[in-house]
Amino acid sequence: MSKHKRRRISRRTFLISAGTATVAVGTGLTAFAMQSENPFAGEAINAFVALLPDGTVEVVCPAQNLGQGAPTALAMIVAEEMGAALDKVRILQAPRDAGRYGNPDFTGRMVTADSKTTVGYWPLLRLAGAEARKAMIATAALSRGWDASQCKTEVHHVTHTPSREHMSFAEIAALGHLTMPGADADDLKAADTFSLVGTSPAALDAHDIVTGRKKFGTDLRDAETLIAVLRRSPHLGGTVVDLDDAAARKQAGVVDVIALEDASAVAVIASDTWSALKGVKLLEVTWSAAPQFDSTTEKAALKQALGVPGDATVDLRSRGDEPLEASYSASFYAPCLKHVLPEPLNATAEPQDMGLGVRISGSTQSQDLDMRYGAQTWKTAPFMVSCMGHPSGGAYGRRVLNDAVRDAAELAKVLGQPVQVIRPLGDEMKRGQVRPAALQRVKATLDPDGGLKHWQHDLASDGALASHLPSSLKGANADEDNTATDGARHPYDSVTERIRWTRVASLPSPGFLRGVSAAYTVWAVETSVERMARAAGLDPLDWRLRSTSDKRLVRVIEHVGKISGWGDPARQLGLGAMEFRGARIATVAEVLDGAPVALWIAADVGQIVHRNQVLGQIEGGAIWGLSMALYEELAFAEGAAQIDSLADYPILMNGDLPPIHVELIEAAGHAPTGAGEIGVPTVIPALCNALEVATGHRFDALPLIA
Amino acid sequence: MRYEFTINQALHSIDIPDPETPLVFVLRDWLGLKGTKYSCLEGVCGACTVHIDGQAVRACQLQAQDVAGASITTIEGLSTQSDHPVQQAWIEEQVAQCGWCQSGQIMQAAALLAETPNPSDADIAAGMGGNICRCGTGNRIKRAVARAADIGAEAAK
Repeated sequence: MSKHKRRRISRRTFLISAGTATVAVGTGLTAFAMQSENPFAGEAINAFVALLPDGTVEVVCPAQNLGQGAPTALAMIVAEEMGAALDKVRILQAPRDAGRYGNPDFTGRMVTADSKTTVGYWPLLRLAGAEARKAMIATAALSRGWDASQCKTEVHHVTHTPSREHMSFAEIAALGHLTMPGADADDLKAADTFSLVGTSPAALDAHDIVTGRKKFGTDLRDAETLIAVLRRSPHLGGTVVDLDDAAARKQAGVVDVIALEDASAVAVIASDTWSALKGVKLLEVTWSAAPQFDSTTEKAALKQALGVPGDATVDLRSRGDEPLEASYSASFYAPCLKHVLPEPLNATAEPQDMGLGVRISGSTQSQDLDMRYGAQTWKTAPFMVSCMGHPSGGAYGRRVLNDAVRDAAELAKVLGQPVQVIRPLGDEMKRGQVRPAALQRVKATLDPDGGLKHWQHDLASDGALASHLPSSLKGANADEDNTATDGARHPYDSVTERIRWTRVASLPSPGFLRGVSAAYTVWAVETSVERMARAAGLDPLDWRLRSTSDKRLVRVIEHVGKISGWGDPARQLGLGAMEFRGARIATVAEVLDGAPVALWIAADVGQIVHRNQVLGQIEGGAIWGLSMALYEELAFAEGAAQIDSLADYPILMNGDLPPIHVELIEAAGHAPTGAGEIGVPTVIPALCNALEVATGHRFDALPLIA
Repeated sequence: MRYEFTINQALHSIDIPDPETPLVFVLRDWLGLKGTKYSCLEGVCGACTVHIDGQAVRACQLQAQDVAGASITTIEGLSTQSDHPVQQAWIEEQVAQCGWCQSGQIMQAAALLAETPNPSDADIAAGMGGNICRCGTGNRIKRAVARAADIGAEAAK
């Protein structure tokens, strides 16, 4: 990704992209915008909102539907400002058009990740909704002779306050033409007047889900589109040395067998899913030899990098002199992890324009990155690649870099016809992206009165940005991969400190995973401070309260202490807290007989948009964190992932979940923060700390219960 | 080979070239019933759960030749008005996140409640324990199963 300045969508862009104009200008992406379609059936008020003749409001969802609830939550923001009734809102998936629909907090790109969707689109969608409200009011006022300043919108009507007369959006639409006065920041509703934002309406796809009607990328293959499944070597980096595809070609339904150009895989193309899957099993392939790689030597390489900070070491935060000695020293190892996607990775490529262009679609987190993969593989200009994202059956970071797009584009080009690639979970578990392993060391010293005197935190790992998107590295020197450092900048006051990250390239392909590095950095931070506080005879919760100046963090820590009954010496409790993606969150775990029996979580996510979805995201994240803490690990030996079945990668199952109590601290007046990942990290130190209280043992590796 | 199945109470006679074709792909690719999902394809995750003669089974582990003649119910046929107590409870409790695994969860829950209309928490944990939800809706699933049992009991009065 090239570096853009944070870009605000100006009113000019809003207005110019309204109506029937098809060429967006003033966005710096004119060439790309020219080919994008107007997604609306109704009369556009701006890039996000249109009105259908029957009064239904169309709202464009610029984010991908991953199950995180973005379509409903984002539509709520527009509906709140517009005064629309949510059941009269129709959500449209945005086409790839970063000029109109890019996330301002994602350098204007169309990427749905990093807990940035609600945060990034909040100001934009409020403005879009306010502009739509003003259009409704101005049009109604003109038609009825009302004074627009005496009108308001509510439940899909414009109401003239003095006369109490009203006009429905359907009646306004029937006038056939909207007056559009525009809107600016002064037109936004005050947070204390919100009536929809902050509530929990049914998700707009809830009914389709329980009846099996919701369609995901995998479900959307049409009759003309072939299906392909790829066979890869069981070890890392293997290429085809010898191939016998005779048996595969005899399978009914198999249309073709194609080795990829780089010999990394052999594709079986078929007219139905099973024939492709079975054809792949029937291939006889000799692969090039496995590389020398295993988890033990990888860990040794990480350890070596921690010992000698060098040119590759990135300084994340430092203050004062490096301490000569520390009274506390500990190391923390986090293994490679997998996403375990519910829906297979998938992508469909359809040749367009006599083969000059290609249309890419599938379950994705980024139409922009799909476009890049498509253009690179098709060897064409970006504007010859059109993209559409379909709902994803889970994503968790794995569909940001959707490598199935490359496979689909290569095969569609060879075949000259549309093909959908699906990547079965077994292949993905063995050869897909991993959350890379990481080793950390913390050295620290407390003052005699318990304050943090020295803090030194060294991290070594690979990173997904460093590996795949180096132009997106952060920091003054553009050398920090925040997906490998997030969570390391702790919230506590220390006299001197050193926080550093060293990249160690990993052989398995690094990917983004929910919580990214915070899923282990926060473990190291929060377990270290709790150990030191306890060793000093201090209450670890009180220690945190007096050691941070982050008032919002203090509130969630105090609150979780209250609801969990913290301080009861008869119980085995542990705490973890952090600031992450702007949110503050604190978790207490209780263990009994070596197992978690309850979690209490208090979180401040700023303005709550969809309350129950926020609670669901935090609880889902907490379950993921528990699963990481207890079970998850992908080991490598002799160049191969040690996994032959999903059963070889234990995860926390429904039947074993403890009760999880989540409470939100209201913070009206603050903008929303990210919520999709915040549930994951603090559970791990909370559980580790509780287990250390219970057992007296110090854990230095995840999973805690090996 | 030509096979006959009763699916959602309608008789289907279909030519399926490979008798080993798993039921999940018979449903999805031959009948267009895409409501039944799949993930692991080894019977571990439960995403493809359907009913055969009222029992919850994993459609990835049954071949077309094994189930010929059987009466199969999928998520599309669980109720005619989308009002099975489990479906109602899933909406009320706002269970689903992405929804991919939920067809299988719902079919598993419906079979559990058909056999154990008034399940204990332990019955629910055991009955739902084999269906993976990676989004982390497990506690809501368990609440919804209990709620569905209540809805079913109300309806039976």
